[in-house]
Amino acid sequence: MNITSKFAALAAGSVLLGVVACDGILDVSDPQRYTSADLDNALEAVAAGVEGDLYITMDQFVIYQGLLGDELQHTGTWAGYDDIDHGRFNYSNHNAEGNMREMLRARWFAGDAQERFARVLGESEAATSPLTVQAQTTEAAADMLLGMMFCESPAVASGPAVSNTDILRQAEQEFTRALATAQAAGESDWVLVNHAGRARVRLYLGDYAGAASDAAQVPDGWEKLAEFSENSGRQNNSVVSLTTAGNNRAASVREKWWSAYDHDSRSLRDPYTDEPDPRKAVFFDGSLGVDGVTDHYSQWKYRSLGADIPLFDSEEMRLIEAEAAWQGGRLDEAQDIMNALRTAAGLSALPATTDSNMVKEYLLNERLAETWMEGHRVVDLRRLGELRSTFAALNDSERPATRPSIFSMDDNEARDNPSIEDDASLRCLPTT
Amino acid sequence: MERPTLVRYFGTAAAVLTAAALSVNGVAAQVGGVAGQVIDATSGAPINGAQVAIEGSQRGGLTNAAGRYLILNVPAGPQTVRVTYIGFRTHEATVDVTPGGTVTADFRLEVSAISLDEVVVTGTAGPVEKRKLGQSIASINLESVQENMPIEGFSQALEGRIPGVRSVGVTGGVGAGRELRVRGTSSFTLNQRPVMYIDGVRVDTNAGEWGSLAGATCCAFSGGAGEDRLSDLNPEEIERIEVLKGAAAATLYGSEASGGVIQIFTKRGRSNSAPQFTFSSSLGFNRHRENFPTTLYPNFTGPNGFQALDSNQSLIENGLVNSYDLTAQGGGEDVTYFIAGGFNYEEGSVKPNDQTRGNMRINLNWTANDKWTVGINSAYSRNKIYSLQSGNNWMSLLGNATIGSPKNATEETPYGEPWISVENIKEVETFSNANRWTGGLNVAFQPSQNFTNRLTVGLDNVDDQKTRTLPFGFFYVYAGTSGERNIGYRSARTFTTDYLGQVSFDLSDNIASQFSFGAQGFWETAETSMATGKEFAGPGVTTVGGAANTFGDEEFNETINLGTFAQNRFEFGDRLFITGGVRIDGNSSFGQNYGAEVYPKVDAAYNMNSSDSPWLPGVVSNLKLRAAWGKAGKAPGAFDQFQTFDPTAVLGDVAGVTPNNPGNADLEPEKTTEIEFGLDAGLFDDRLGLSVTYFDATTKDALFQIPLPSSEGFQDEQLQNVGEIANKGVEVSLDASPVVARGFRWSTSLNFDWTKNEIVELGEAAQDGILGDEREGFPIESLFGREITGWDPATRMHTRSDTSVYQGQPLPTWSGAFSNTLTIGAVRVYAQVRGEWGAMFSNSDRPYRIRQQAGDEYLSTLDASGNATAVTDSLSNYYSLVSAFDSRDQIRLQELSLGYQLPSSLVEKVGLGRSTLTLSGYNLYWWDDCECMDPSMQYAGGSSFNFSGFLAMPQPRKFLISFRTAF
Repeated sequence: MNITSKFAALAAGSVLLGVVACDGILDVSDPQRYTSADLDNALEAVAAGVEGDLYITMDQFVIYQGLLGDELQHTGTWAGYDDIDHGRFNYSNHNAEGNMREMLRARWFAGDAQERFARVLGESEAATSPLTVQAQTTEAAADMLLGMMFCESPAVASGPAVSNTDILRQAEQEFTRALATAQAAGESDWVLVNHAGRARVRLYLGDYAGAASDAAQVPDGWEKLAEFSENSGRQNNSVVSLTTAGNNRAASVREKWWSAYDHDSRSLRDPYTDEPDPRKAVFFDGSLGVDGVTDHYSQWKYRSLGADIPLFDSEEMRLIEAEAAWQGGRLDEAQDIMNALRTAAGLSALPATTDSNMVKEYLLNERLAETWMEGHRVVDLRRLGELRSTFAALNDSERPATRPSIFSMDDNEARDNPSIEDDASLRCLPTT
Repeated sequence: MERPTLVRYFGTAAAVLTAAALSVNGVAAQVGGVAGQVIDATSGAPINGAQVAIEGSQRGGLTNAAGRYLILNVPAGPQTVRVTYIGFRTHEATVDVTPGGTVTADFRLEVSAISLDEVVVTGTAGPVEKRKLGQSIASINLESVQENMPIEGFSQALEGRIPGVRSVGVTGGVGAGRELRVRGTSSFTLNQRPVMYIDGVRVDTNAGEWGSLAGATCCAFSGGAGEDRLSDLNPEEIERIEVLKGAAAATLYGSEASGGVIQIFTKRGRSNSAPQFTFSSSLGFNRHRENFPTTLYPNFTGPNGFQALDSNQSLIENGLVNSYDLTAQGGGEDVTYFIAGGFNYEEGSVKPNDQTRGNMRINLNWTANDKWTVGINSAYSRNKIYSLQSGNNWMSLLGNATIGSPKNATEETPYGEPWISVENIKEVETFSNANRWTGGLNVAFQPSQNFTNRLTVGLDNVDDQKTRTLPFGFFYVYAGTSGERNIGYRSARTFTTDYLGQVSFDLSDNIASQFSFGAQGFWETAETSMATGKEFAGPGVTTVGGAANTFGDEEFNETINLGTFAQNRFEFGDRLFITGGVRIDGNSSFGQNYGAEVYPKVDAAYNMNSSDSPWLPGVVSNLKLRAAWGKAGKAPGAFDQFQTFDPTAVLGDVAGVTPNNPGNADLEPEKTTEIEFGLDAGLFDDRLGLSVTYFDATTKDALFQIPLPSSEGFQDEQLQNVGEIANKGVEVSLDASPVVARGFRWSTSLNFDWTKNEIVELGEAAQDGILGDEREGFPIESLFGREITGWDPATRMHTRSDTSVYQGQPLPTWSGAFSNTLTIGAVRVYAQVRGEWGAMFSNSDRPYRIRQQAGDEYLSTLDASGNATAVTDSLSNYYSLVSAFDSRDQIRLQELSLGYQLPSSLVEKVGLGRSTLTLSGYNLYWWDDCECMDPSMQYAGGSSFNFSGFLAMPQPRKFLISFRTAF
């Protein structure tokens, strides 16, 4: 056998051995993540994950809504925060877009989870499963938050954009469906969550009677919290890490409130009785913001990275009832409800009035207090037509009265969603 | 799915080799020896380390310090002895070896500025002379480099020496990452560091921070820079480095090679040689240039009257540099050895920051008989780094000292530190402690003169433990004063198997053929685990378990690549060489719907010289024309193809999941096809060497993170093969020895490159040619930003554009280095100047400082009372609206040395041989066009695409006195 024949035989043998030996040799798996198939055996974790994905949007929701309204101002070095605080962002360049992405993902996951439950459990069992309630309620709450924060959103995954009013209507339908499932599943707490959610959404849609009816189902002392935790960085409450003394002081309570600060009680004084209002928790120790220039007044409602943010509570429900009463001309009833809440907070009653505008002012103040740093304020000012006058009163040339009143859609969604045109002239950005 | 075992593909290679061995009949031979001396023809000085080989056999060796060699067991009869040494012409001589006797062959080598006879192995399917190659391959003889300039770290060895190879210090802490890339950027997403091998074993080249796992407070461990695993290497162990720069050259490395391949060859023993020792030691210091932007700070006081400090005066110190290395080379008839031990200690100029490194190596080579050679390489290093806090990091030491307003200075924060006091940062202890073992077994089997086999198996194992301690009682943003402890462990392993078979035969009298075939495989795993403890009860306890809250995390990556190749080289006479080949690769990261990838290549080289081509211009003594075309690839990330959901804690401590990666079952490698033309010429009797290369590379199926609508649910974007990237350029190197005389020599070297990078296409997902931050028609990672358009007197503010405009590209268009060596008697002077032009970077420090009312640029606009002026207001408003983009253009006095060879009459009295004393300086000065400390700064280390120097640390200058001797 000459050399050429030898090496040919060797080469052929090597290839043959190699082919035999290599079967499956390139297969690897990722031991730190789940595949979709894996999740069919982890339905409770899926449902928990769905709910958790919604909660982690709440802290940024609070911050951006606070900067857009009159709760917070920028005291750091981030252009994104600065642009929102000063009302000088436009369609394609505001930082709150990331928050929309998180909400949309939470909504998608909630819908995907419902399909998985139905496939794995079967339609009939899934229809009365607590897991389905969890997912349906989350889906509704995600649409509710989208409607509060953005002037338009896709109604479904990769679907066309609809107005925030339409998203809120969708949220109402979803709360209704989730309510029925919760009732069928015997999940009493989730029943209350869905009543509370629908109450808020109906208030925003102008269905005051419907809102009050739902709110009345929620007993005093009840709350549903968006849970945060120090257990993982993902669950840290960034309202604390970004706006609070001892952390990054990138945003402060807005300067208009500083004169009302009461150091002993670490709160703002009530504008009507001059009493410290513990609901408007604030703290100032002389620190400057991260910009090194501006005094920094910390929000003091959330003080640890694990501090929960209220998603719904009975106090908000009572205020919905008060507002419905005010809208119906029942001024005394509205004041009675507000005074009851004030009493519970240790405050004196509001000066009685028969002036509807005064009652509106009271409502705004009480809603600010009860939902302090929960992302509601700018929504209230906007829907009650007070946002422009609020900023006009600042008399601040860098923060003019004419400013965006709500966030525009995430332009990444518009760019990547085939059903939406990424054209600024077609996208909304309402101003005051 | 089970992980595969190594047995399968080791078994394949072993089976092949065994079969080959069994088929061959051994034949006893009569043998003799060859001995002689190799000297410099001009100076008469002996040449140490010249390679002497007996053609067509495994026999050979290196000359010793006296230039002498001895090769035994050479088959009797006529034999060709070949001597090569970089910088000199190759010589051959035919001798008649007598059985039992030793024949003498002395050589006088002439200086040559080109090295076409140099034998290279990287990317060539076996040892081959450069003159036979159509692709460009660069090599550095590190021993020669160290004659001029002590090299304290591996990455310095590549700096400014090879056109097209960019090795730049981007972060100034000792042990920190350097940017290393070849021929620009050819990917949007994948690591651009070239693949690296040491003696045929693939090695880990990680150069960046791990990331803040396990709830660690930003930014574990030391900020963005991290540590560079190349800092584990000891340059004293390295003989030479070969660099493949493009796809045309790197085809045989397949799916990892489009960013270039670097092969490091460590030193070998010497046959029939008594142990030759080399001892080297350096002592010196690092010291930053005093150009930190705080010179005006002492003009200001804080609220309590405390005078602010200038960081140039109070932070910059001398950082000690101290190293010792001892090597031994020698061997007998059949066994040679190289043993090395080294110790290096280096402090940064801003402290605390230091590196302590110990290295040990043993290389053994056993020539069992005429057919079998076995080599074993084993190297261990221990590299402990006290890392500097820097980069985009709340705890950036220099950042805090230079970005706060002096008007806020207090006794606790004397620089007006905005986040954390410098004194508190100095209490943070951040360590990286890496143990590394790299080893390999090389078996060569040559059953006949024209059939060789080589098998290499090896392992690179890095175990790196990191710790960071934020002590109790000191304030740190996000962590408060209750302290924190982070520990991390990274274990990276790379197994390499490489088989090469080569058959040479003559097709006719004038046409020879060399057929090569083989297989390569590597298996990489990287496991990282971290634990964090937060909130201690008091000082004194600093273990994770001692904290009130503890967290853990873990990451794992695994990649397997198998490839097989075949190529044939046709040799027409000794002038024309044409090579064609193909490699087929499978990789575990390819999508499950995608099979194997095929990488073809073809290259040609045509050699001429003044003797056989009299029509050449008289000044041309040698000329090689070359061309190459080839394809190489870059595989996706280890698990990018899988659709996944992340496990995550939700609702406090409940196990949940969240959508993560949408996955892509069709994922392919990026494919780079390159064509290259060039020439290598020796002019003026090879006293001047010129090498010119033009390359044109196109990367197709470039991976890009395609954003999916958020409404579709997944966190991550989807990796898709969508893009096309073009890279073209010209590389020129000129080496000359204009003056070579007894007692005086002048050598000069100039290399420069021009590179153009452009995104050709971004695929269907792009809108108006824009996708993410990338735009068609622009370089990758181009800088875009809004611009100031005017001044509005009504508002007394600047106006800015609504859209972002192009500001520049991140990598230089032009770069080059010019070095000169003058040898006058026993004195040698060397200098290297390096420059680059055409790059821009986002100088994020600058607007940040101005918004903070900090830095000399801002403070210089204040009036005598320290109050803002109209200029101040204008500057503040300007940088509240736009980012700062600055030029990276620079000329740098990179290396300077003065060496003195001690008189032999002196050193021999103490038993030493050739001894040199050298004074050297590194990174001594630079001229730039930016409002910054150093235009090369980059906060995110050496493996990042990010080109921002935000809060980064500039490179210090280094001053050394070194002693080197052989005995």
